[in-house]
Amino acid sequence: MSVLLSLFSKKERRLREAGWGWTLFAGIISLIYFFPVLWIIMTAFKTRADALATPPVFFFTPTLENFVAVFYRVAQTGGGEAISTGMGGFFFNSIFVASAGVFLALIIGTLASYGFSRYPLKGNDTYLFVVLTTRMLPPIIVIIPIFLMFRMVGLSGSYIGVILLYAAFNLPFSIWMMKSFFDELSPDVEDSARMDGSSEFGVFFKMCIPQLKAGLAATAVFAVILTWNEFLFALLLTSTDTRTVPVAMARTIGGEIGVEWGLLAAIITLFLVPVFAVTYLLQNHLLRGVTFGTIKK
Amino acid sequence: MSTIQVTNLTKRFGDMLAVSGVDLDVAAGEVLCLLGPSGCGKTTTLRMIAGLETTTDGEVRIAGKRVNEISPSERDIAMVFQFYALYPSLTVAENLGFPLHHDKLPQSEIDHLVSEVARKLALTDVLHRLPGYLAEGEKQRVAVARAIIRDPNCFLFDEPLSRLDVELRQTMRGQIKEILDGLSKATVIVTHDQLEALTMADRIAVMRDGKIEQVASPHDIFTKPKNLFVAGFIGTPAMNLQEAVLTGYEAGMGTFQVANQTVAIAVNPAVQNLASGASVTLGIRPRAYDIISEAADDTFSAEVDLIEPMGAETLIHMMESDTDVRVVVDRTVHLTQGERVHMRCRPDQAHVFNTEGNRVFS
Amino acid sequence: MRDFWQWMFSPSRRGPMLIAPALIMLFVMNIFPLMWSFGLSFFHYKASSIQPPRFAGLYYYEKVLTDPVVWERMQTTALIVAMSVLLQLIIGFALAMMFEKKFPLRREILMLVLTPMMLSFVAVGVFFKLFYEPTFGLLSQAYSYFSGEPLTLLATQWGAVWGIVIADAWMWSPFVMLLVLAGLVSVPDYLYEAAEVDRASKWKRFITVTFPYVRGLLLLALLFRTIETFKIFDVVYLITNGGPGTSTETIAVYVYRVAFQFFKTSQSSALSYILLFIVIVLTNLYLYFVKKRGEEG
Repeated sequence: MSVLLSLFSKKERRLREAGWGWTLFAGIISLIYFFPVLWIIMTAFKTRADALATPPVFFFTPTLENFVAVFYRVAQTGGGEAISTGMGGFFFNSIFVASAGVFLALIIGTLASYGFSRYPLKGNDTYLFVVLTTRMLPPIIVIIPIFLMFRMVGLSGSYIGVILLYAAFNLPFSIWMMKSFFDELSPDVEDSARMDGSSEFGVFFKMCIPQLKAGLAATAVFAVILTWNEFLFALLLTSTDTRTVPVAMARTIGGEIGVEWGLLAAIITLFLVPVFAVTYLLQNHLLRGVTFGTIKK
Repeated sequence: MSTIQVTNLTKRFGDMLAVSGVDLDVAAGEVLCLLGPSGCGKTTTLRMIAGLETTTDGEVRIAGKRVNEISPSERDIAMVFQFYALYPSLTVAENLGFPLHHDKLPQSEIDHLVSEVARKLALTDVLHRLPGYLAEGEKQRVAVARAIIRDPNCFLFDEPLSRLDVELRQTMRGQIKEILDGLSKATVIVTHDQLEALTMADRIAVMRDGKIEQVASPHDIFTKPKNLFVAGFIGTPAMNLQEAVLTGYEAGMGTFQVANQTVAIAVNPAVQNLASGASVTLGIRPRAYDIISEAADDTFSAEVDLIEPMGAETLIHMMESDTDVRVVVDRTVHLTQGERVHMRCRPDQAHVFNTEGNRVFS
Repeated sequence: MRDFWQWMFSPSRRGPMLIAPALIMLFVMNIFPLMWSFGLSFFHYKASSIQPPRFAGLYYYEKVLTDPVVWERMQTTALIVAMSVLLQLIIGFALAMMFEKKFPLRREILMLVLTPMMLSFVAVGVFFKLFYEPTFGLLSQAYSYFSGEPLTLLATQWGAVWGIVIADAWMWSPFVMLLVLAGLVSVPDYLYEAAEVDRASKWKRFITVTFPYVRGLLLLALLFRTIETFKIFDVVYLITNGGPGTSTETIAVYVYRVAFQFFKTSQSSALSYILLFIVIVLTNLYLYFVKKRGEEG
């Protein structure tokens, strides 16, 4: 019986069945749409000659030489031994800076969103508006004063500076996302836990957090990707030691000896692997994520 | 003629048989209620009549015409949905006029019909409001008005009153009944509320697990339930169904062994065809008992276990050898918990069900 | 000490305590720098010189507001925003219609279309730069194959604008699709059924049943994308770098130039505040409609 009931009481509409014919149609359209990504990945596996061929080559013998070249190049002087390009370090920087920034933002943001959701202040909406506005601002106008400030206190180009900046960058996002999850959670459970003698810390850590694990994970992963992709802040605030991958890529485009497309494509391909994985995992939270938690459904 | 005929209607969802072999015949001007617990297939049956669900097997005929292969819009039917299905972006007046657009009527004609139906259902004051700003009762009336504004082959109602509160439900029951009486269309109403079915229907079809258990007038459903399911489902408080053994029959009186007591009860003469010693189920409604001061051959005794005042009447739960017997008495009757009382079933009020669960009658 | 903790975590102070860390962080990393640069906008100051700031009053606001270059950049930005957002709405709507059906592999195919908006601007910039490359870029080759003439898309003003618009619209149409799709699947089944019983035509069904549920989200998509596209920087920076000449220099790129290439700090600060004002107005409008939608739903 429950099968039948769920058929009629389900909130989401029963979509019209379209069958394999539609799969074919949608598949072709979507592949065309996806093609730019595919082309880059293909380019990453091409030899230099294949990558620059006219007319373009669609079938070729894949090579991994570009991927090797991402990390090592042959020294011009000396015995021609392989020396590091530093790209490995940039990948490390991207991972490190994104995780640390997001971790910080998530702790502060989750607490704040709990406050906004459960203990609304006078002018709660105004605070939330200010929080969101800091995220909606063109990054360029935020970065000018921060650039000057960092230069004054000597945080320019340091890990701490970049991590702090990314924590602040992800904070509004974390607050709005997590608030949207908290708002969906019935406070009855928390009140009942309080009645049963649970402390406030117990309520938060033992009642709320376990229920919001999925939401927390979605927020974290989303924030990591946003940071992973971020360019302008990194461009202006990182030094050679703390440079992230997007900045390194942009520099490769502006290279002096013409653009090494195969190499660039290989960097991008590596750079995109986590993005693909995350997009797939987050599919159900994508709408909430891209609208900063302002639209749930 | 506005009629609905359904023969051997069957619906399968994957492995699940939702509706199986349903036969119904609704005459013009007749109101048939499909009544049953949730998940019994009554809504699916209605949706197949409307054409919103395809049929796995069987035939649906509306106004004498086979409509199985015809889409809902071509069946010329009007339907009231459980959630009213008012178009949220249209005003009440536009909602009411919506079904008329298909007929390409002139706007003046539409306006005329809208104001007429609005008057009938007391909606004149809210004609220019959007559905979002209506009270629940008003939404319900709009849904009904939108159905009756045109002249369809038949009316279908899917749980029309389930979203209203008790008071509104009572007034709407009467109002819908009144409106339907004046329309002489075949009407099918789906409900899980027996009171709704008993008050609005000309005939009731009780459904369980996709099958029809009994189709009869409200009176007959109540007084002559065909089997244990119908007997137990119809009536509040529910009929007392007690396991018993038939020990003898003489001149309209059956003797039964019930919970270690021997009781003589007036029963249908068909009971004499049962073998002595047969296991049966005795069905007696809580209001069919009289409390008697002294024990006799035809009384059953039990101990008062729980007293539930219901206003004008009092519901008494009695216990005897682990069987619960419910009796409704006038509120003037005072009993105390733990008291032992004797009760007698009124003549012709006892039903005997055989081991298959069917009522024994002639 | 115990008393202090009790005082701090009393129920009436719980809300402020929870959001305090977040507000402090936002203040230090966003609001204070903005206020500082707001101050700077009233002084003569150059980040590249060591001269102390001198008071300038409203000089820079006057200068910025009367500067024809600023208005030109605004027009360029408006043009790109209008073209790109319109394209996003059209493509997004069409894609949503395509996915408003149930068919095998729907989730997997949807992935292909959703991926672009999760990518880094830098990656997208590289994709399209590769496409537009005059000699071996796929688009250029396809064009010359059919027309016999070579295509140097980014060499002309309109070509460059289109180059940016195509890349941005490609990246963000999935965003619109996601919102429209959410609207499409939120239409209750029974409304379609009622329209069917009421014998409504296909077009009438779309207008009275489908569209009202999509309208709100479409408006939100329009506003959100307008705010975001208004800030467009990375894609422009990477694909055209504002060229040819300054014909695709958007306001964000212009601010970047003024601030970090010419080091006209005061002027860029004043300009920032004008952008800030625009974004605040748009964000307010957006949140107003978000709230309205929440109350209606």
